[in-house]
Amino acid sequence: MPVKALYNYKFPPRDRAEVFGDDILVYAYWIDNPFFCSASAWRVPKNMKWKDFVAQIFGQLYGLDPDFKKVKSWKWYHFDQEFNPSDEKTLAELGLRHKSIVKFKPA
Amino acid sequence: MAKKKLTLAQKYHIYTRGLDWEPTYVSKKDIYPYAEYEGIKIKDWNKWEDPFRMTVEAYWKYQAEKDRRFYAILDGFIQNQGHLTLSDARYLNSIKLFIQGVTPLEYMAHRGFAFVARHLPGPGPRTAAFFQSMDELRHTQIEVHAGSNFNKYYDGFHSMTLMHDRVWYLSVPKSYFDDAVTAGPFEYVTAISFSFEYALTNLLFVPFMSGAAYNGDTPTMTFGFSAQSDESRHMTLGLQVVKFLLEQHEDNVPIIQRWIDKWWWRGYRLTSLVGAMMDYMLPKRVMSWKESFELYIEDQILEGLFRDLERYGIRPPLHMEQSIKEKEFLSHDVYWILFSFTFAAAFHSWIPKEEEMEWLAEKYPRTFNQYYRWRYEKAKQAKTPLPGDRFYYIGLPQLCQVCQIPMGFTDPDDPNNFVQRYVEYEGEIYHFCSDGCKWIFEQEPEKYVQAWLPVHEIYKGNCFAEPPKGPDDVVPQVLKWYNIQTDNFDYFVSEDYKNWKEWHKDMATVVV
Repeated sequence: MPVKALYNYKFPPRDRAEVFGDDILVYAYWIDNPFFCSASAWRVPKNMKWKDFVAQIFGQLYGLDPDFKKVKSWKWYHFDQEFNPSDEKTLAELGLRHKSIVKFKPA
Repeated sequence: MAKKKLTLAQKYHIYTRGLDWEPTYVSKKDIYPYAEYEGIKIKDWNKWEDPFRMTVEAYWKYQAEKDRRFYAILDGFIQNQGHLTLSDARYLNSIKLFIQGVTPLEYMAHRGFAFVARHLPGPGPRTAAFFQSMDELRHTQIEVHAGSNFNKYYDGFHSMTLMHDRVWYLSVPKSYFDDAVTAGPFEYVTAISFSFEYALTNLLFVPFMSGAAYNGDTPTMTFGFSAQSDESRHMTLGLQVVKFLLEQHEDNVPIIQRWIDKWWWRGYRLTSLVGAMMDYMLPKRVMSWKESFELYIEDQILEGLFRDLERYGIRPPLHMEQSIKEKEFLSHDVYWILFSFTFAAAFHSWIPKEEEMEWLAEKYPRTFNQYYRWRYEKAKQAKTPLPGDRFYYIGLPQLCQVCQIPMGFTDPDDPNNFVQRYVEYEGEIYHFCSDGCKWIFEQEPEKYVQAWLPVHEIYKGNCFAEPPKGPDDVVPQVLKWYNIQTDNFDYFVSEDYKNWKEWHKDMATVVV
């Protein structure tokens, strides 16, 4: 249903992909762990390697959880689809796009 | 023969309508350009029944009397060093949220009702909106005055208007009201007069004013009394507006229903901030969010108001069921969010004391110990390099595209996870905290794709005082742009706490 207005009401989305250039926004969410009060948001280069992305979000944020170091390996999801990202691939190669959400939990 | 006397209602009818005239050289459409595009059909404005009979003369007299009382009490409070006799300085964090988040909305309401007072073609509702517009301006003023005394002694009061425009958690109330004032006059009155003033205002005001009274804040309490008589006028206006629109044309019913659906959820999400204040920020508590929700929403609004509206073909708001399911989670979720991001907020948070945890467990026997208590235990272990002996979320959260709250609302059917929804619209993805917010987006996506989301704005570089010199300088530059000085971090490392202890060091009674 369109907005009712007195004129043609159409504006470009404020946070559309092109605004971020070679970067994308990616959200990350630790499944079953509400210690982190919501998914997190990251601005990262599309060509960032998966391992660097993981190092960033774990290093800055998720490693703060005292239970983090007990986890040996992680199971990953892109939106709700299971996926097995390889470390050397870039986010773009793995199919991540602007405003993708990756979710993870201990494997 | 003596002239027959008019009744009060007839007199008032003539008094208000007598100010109106039929235009002769300009068309009505040109005078009231916003009257038709929303699709609301009005057959006869004269069917409008004035919900109250207020004249300008009586209004000035009445409000001046209330102001005299208010300022006398404020003076007494200041002379008696009232800032020292609060229950605890922690209490003021709820007042900081109020001043930063709600007071600017009073001002927006003043503008919104001025717009309605100008643009509704009916002189009766125009007059009613005019009085409300003045009320809202006056409320802004006395709230500022009630809070300004605290600004001399406590952090977090110094920059309300700038913060309201910029700070992440204040984009929640700001975007709510911006949504309302950018709608047409009919949606605006349905949103604010009906959905907010009628359905939600008790949930905001009653616990807030009782909280002030319980915690020794006489100015805020007196403001509450002063505003209360206006609020009752606002509530009757809200009900009258909706009934009038529903009676005017059957085509109005689905439009009004959609606005009620939208604005119930918008307002409900906004008042979740009040839930966090009630359950966590008041050192002396009044009632829990859940109790207040059951009393004001389930008993009075669902069982009272919406039963009454059934005969007009109106049903309870969509997603009301979800708010009922959430009532044992909501306040805990929101305080946990505020707690996690206190390094970037103009108020303090703290780990609830043991007796407060017990109160929470007693009020929320099905949720607090099970899902929330352990987080605070863990927060004591999970330390960060920031001030305060506890956890902060060192990062930025994903925000809901509509309500703009970090996406941290527990799924009652899966209480270890948060609700996450998304849609793709014209090639872009949008995320939502709930089915309610997602539904609102889908009704008017063109509106919400423009949302100014604080997290994304930070990532676009729009929220820095100066360009950051490195990764460690990002947050400081954002805080500077927010004009947050020593207002953030845990209460127990704050200036407020330090001063409070200092001011009370010779007093045996103080709670520290």
